[in-house]
Amino acid sequence: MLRDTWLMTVKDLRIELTSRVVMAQILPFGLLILILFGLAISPDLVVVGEARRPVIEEIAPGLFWLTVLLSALMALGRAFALEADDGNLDALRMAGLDPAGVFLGKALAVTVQLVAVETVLGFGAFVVFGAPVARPGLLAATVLLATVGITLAGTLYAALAAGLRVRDTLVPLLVLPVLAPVLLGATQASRDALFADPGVPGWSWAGLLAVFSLLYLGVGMLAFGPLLEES
Amino acid sequence: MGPVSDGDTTPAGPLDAGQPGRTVVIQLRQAISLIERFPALAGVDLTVSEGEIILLRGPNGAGKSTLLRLCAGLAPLNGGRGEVLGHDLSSRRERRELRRQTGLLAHATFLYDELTVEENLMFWARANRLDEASVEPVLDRLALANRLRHVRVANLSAGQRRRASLAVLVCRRPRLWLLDEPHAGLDVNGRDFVDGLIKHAVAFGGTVLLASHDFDRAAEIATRTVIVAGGQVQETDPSARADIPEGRMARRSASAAPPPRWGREPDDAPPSDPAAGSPLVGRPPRSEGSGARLTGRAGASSNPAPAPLRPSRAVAPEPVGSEADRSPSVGAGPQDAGADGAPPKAPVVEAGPGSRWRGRRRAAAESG
Repeated sequence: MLRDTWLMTVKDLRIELTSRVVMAQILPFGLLILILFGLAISPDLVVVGEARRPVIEEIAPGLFWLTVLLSALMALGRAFALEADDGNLDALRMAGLDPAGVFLGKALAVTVQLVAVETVLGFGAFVVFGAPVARPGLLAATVLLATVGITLAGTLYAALAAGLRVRDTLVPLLVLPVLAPVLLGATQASRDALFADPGVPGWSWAGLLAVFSLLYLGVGMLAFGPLLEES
Repeated sequence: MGPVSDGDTTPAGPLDAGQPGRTVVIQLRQAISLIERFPALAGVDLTVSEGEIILLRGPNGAGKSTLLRLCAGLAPLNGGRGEVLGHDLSSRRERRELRRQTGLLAHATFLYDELTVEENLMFWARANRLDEASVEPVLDRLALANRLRHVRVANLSAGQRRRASLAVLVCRRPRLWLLDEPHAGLDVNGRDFVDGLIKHAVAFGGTVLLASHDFDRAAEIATRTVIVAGGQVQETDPSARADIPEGRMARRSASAAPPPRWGREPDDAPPSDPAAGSPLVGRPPRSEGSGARLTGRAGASSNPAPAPLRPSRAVAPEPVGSEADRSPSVGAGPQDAGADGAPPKAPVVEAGPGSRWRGRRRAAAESG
């Protein structure tokens, strides 16, 4: 299984190095959204309460993770378009690769790409929203756990729709509701990481992200075989 | 034969015994395969023995491609019964095992556009747990070793893509070759190569099903023609099965089917001993002490050992003139397999009056 995981990951990353779709198209897309959010929300608005932070800074974590989600949808769609467009799913089935290995390989490749995107988007968010970072360790853990959760769940549902002609429009419909807990948990944990807000238990939210990731790791490894069979 | 898949309501008779003395590779009895709710195959009966080259003919949408996919273990068997290479098609687990032993050349190329030809071949060789060293001879034989090796598949012409796809298929070294329009998009060199490859594969123990609209060319190499229409086998040539030489053609006709080379004549000096292996088909030749499988597991058999084929239930050859000889399925036909062991010529089905296919009876023409 690990061999197949590595094989798929290396192949997908090699394709990305050649085509640069994620870095040349999806990353600029994410940056554009961040900038548009910055333009749409006035920096003069101030949150009521003791902190009196600008609104844009207060909602920066949510906007950042929303941008990541939209970018992830594109990356996931791209990852399975590679397999579905020229019958490669059939070829993978005929090769007899371990379905769990294929699942983990695809998810790992998307994770690597998404972490790269998030790193650049993070700097972009810092520039646009100007939010400080109070707890960098919690922020790093949040980014990692949320990304893994997004890619594991997203890979599973993208595979579900891979063989369908309507997959491009179906995947967001399937994935976005499922990823609502990730959006919530990542936003809350990031808020704690940025502002050290005593009212927000950041590590607890990070724990939720870890449970979500573990859940979809198990479900994905079990369900990917039948999904690959039926796609 | 395991239980029939869920939803099977079609009474299916016992599987055909196949040709006496010959291993049966494909046995389908009232096989039904659905694409969504459409019965792409609506009760197919077909028996194919080892060493046959079966030409599937029929109009577009007749079910030829689905039949090939069913035999590859990709399309589901929704009704009836079926065994391919000894694997029960109604069992999902056995279909997975079957897939490793078959090679499908489909309309899709099974290639990644963003990777080069070499990268594609290396990936699929690793995915199929093949020896990396087996890629180089294939690149060489298909004239992909030089200029095209490092070209991205997206930049290839349609014919070159087809050639690269064929290279991946050859790397798999399947036992059952399922070729969907193998001549499509190829120039004369390519078509000649495909023909040579088919003959060579059969000479080394393979069995071939090909669907082709290039009838004249395909009929030259086929040992039997099967007409598919409306998701069913309408007609099969009753005389062709006796044309296949006894025993494995691999042992006797290898010298008559040298390994083909793209754009050139076949090798002048084919392997005189088939057991020595072919550079293209059959069991891959392993280098001495080669543990260089890509599994990373020492000693692991990465290319799955072929499942033992079930011998035909009628293993004893019937005496000439027996009932079996007169039966439509094993009828005595012209024995035009040459004494040199060359692949037998294709007897062509004469479709019935009013048929939309214009058949020709090669045997009659040749005798005339």
